[in-house]
Amino acid sequence: MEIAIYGKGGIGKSTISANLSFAWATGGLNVMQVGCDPKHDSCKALLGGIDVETVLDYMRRKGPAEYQLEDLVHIGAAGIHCVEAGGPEPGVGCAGRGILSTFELLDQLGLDRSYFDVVLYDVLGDVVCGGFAVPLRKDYAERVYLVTSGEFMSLYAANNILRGLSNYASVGPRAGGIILNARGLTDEFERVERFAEAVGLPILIRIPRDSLFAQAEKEGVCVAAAYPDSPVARAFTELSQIIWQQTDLYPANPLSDDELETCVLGKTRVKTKSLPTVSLPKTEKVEDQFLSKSLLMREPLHGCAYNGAMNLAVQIRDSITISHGPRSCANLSLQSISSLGRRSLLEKSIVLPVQLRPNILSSEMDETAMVFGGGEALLETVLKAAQFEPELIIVVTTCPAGIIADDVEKILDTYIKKEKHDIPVVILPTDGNLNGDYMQGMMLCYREVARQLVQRNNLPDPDPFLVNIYGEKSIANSTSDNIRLLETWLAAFGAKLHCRYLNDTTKASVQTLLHAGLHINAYDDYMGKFLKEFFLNEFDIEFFPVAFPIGTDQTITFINALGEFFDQPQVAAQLIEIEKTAYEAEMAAVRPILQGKRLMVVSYNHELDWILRTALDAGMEIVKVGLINFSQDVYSESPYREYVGEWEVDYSQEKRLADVKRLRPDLLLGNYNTAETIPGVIFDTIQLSPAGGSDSGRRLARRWVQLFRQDIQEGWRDDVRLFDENFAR
Amino acid sequence: MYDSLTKILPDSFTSMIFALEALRGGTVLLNGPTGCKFYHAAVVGGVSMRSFSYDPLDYPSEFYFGQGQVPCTYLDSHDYVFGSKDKLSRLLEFVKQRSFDFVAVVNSPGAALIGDDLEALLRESQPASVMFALDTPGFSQTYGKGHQDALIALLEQLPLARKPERGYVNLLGFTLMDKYAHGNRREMIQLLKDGGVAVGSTLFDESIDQITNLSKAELNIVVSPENGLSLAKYLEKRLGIPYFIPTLGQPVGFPACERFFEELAEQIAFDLEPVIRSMNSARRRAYYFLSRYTSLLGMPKGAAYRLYGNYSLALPLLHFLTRYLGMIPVELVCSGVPAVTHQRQVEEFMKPFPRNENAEAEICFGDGNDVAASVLKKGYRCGIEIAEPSMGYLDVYEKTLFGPRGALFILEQVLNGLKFSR
Repeated sequence: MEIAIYGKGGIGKSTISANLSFAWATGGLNVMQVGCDPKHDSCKALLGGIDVETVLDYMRRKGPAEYQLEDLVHIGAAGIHCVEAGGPEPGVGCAGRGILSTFELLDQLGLDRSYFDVVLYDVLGDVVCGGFAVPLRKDYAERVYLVTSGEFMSLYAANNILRGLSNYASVGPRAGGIILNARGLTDEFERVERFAEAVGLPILIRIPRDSLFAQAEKEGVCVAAAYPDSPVARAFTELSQIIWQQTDLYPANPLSDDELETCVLGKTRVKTKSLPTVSLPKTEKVEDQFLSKSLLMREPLHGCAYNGAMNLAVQIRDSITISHGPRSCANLSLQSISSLGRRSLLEKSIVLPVQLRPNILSSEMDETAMVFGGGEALLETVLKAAQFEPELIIVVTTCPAGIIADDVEKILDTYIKKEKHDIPVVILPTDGNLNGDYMQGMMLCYREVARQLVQRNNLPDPDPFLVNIYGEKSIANSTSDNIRLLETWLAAFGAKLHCRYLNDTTKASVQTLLHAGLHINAYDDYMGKFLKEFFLNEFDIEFFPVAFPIGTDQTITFINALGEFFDQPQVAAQLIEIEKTAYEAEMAAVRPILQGKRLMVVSYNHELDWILRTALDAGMEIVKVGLINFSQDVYSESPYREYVGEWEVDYSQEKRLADVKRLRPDLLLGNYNTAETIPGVIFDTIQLSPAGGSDSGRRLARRWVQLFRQDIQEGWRDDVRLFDENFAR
Repeated sequence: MYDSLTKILPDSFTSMIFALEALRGGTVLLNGPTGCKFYHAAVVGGVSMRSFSYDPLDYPSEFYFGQGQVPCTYLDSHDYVFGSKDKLSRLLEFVKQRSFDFVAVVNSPGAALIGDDLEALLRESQPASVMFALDTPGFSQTYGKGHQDALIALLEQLPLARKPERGYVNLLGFTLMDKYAHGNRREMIQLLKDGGVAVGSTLFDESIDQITNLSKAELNIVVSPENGLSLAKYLEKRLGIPYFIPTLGQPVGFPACERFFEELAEQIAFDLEPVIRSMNSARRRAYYFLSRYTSLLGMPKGAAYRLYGNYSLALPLLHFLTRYLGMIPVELVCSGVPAVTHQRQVEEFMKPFPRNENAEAEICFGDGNDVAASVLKKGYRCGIEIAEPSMGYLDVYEKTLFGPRGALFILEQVLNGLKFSR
């Protein structure tokens, strides 16, 4: 028989558990008692008042290879086998996780529960979270008993436990009844009786208040052992027999909060809607509520804030970024950062130092850290990072660190005071995805790094020939080519890059961000708008009116604007002439082939002007543009919309094939090529992050010409059947 | 400045997903946020050759987020407070319609802290005849532990009974993070077949039906103890199948490969002759190239290399590269929980070669990150991948590191690599 005794903290469930165990053991049964309360005093009265090492303390002290079941099970009075789960100090870690860890370890070590006649779980019932509900699972307690007094909060906890139990209704009825541990209140028995009747459970026994309990506790034994002939000892013997012989169990029928108040207190709950509304002063933190698109639109979160922040934080190459969490989180981030580095090296022989060897350390939170808090693990990692004498340490937090509520700021304060080091530390409390998606993490990083590093005082006048660029996409293939193009253009005007915020940069260049006189946004998308607004509000920075350009129109506008800014219109004119000549020559060459061809575009890119303009200049007819919802951008307007036959947002897979059949385009463009083929329709791709300048459109047009000249139906496509047979699933 | 920053290896969470997704006919449901899904699904789709397209529109279902594998419950802060029951129940109902042979639910590290009763949800939904949950992804534990825990959890669901047949073995320890895992597996199956031994199961790239063949084996060969020794011990305890750890580790390079099969022949009836013929043929070919190369360049003797990998892979490579080719290991970094014998041999082997992080070296052996980082750090021009993730080279032609073909392939890369690094 396996039973769980649940009750509010301090209600006496450990006393009742110990006495019940004692009664069964002295009656000849083989008994194990498992204390599931961080207070870890469930078995104390069975162990002569001795505090034994808890399972969780043991896990913290020993390595997995050293774990022995015998170290965790202690023999108490009457041969009762005692286990104390234990738990973290109040205020740190996760006590619920501690219960999960305890049960897992006991299973791993091969604890054979069937060896015992009775296994009793003594469980804290104030919080019926996943961890403390483990004993309710099918594999553990077959019966659940509620210890309560007549106090409202005690009955409230009992009702909550029934709620937890009701989630396991499919297992069948498992509630055994109520054990009334009286506090001597007026009307106490009546209150509990009303509750018992309302939830449909019997009161198995009424245990009166008795000073013998305190006396036995002083002696370090349970009352049934110290005073076997006392009325309370006899009550426990009676209760042990009732439970042992009990055959009827009851379904969990918890009360609603209203019903509970009516039942126990005899009053009707006042609805909150009758309360007046209040007006409260607000802090300036409200400003920070610039939300990512997914959060704003309440869409499923795409990626996690942690990874977004990590990908940006590592771009400050003289810093070390600490991932506070399990190693898997750091590894996932490392792979997403290094993926482009590896590919760039292999495909283009381009070395991207940050992407090839990001300076990341992981605090490698383990099971112990999950239960007791990750403070020690984080401190060790910060000390390790400090040994390398970086210019900056950045700490980014993961889901587990957030869920167990590690107070990173406090932990680091302690460290800084103790070590007296002067390496600045920036904390990015992303808490995995608790604080949002990938994009939200990027925003957090952009914001906090600027706030904590950028110097605002005693600055020289901004140098107009020093240029910052903001919001480059560190994971885009085109970024390295784009920055080279920008440097070429800037050099023509005698200007140069100062800070790439945040891409392959240094702490010093971020600190001196305001030395630059020209601030260019890499993209005019959702993130670009955020950066523009943030730097204007916080640093009074006016961004350049034109973002880094993609396509001919934007390139001409951008270069013209540079000419105006640097007051060198003739330089701008020369650059534009080069771009225009090349573009017009290309269009003249492709027009004979592309003229009149029907184009359909299905895209995650919402900024398509560069491709639409190219198609129109090549004489193509744009029959449809379908824009797919993208986690990182909102839909934008296009000056070429009036030239497009159909323009549809929130486009989907189901529509694509039907539209192609209906509109019969000659060319279907998408970010990804489709496996479908339709005779007469050429399918081709466009980059998710196209290269800047006017060349990207030209290159595409050249490729379309090639495809129209030689539209070869690939033979390999017929082998889809073979793939499905051998590889799929 | 940060040359000594710790290499961050995947942990048990990743390997649980990979171990089960590397099998056929099943699916892993990730009870966690999309941030934990994208990388895993991308690797599984690529390395295990499951996804035929990158187009998210080909995978439009709610839980797949544009990828073909590892559907997830996209947990958010609300779910961490109120539990993941609703989303997971819906996902279970969804996969039930797709008739998988097995369904495994794996908790993300965050989800493991909230303690949802996954088994109860599985029992309610019954999404497949074989179904189980991995509640704890083993926070920061080794890759090998997660890999084996996941496979043992699967085996626990299968009604296996030992029916040993002469001439059957199992190969244990293949993982998706091995370089050319599919080619290695195929090469071993062929070499064993040539010697008259059939493979019951490899617990890799196989369906549940194929896996049940493991009860036929008279011997379990632990190809990689880091990823297979616990499995071998489990199978010994459950089915009474003895296991064997090859003295020189994985059958990589001539010395270790020959020793592997010689030792196998001492354990079971195995005809060594065909393997010896293949090995000698490969050695003849290698001799030709080495003889010409050495006559012109002197190398590969004396060329320095760095090596990053598991002990069971490092040990045979040390024998091949140093004992056979005469190259000098200037740095060796091993990971995973090895067999004691491999660790001792590696340590003994390296005694005459003190570690020197800053020494010049012509070639780096490791995963794509090691190779790429080495290029940055030391300006190497040659890196040879012996583990995933890769640099991105598309291995259309199936390659292997194992057996005589693998030895020649490594030699080919070494000789060409040394040309580049000169």
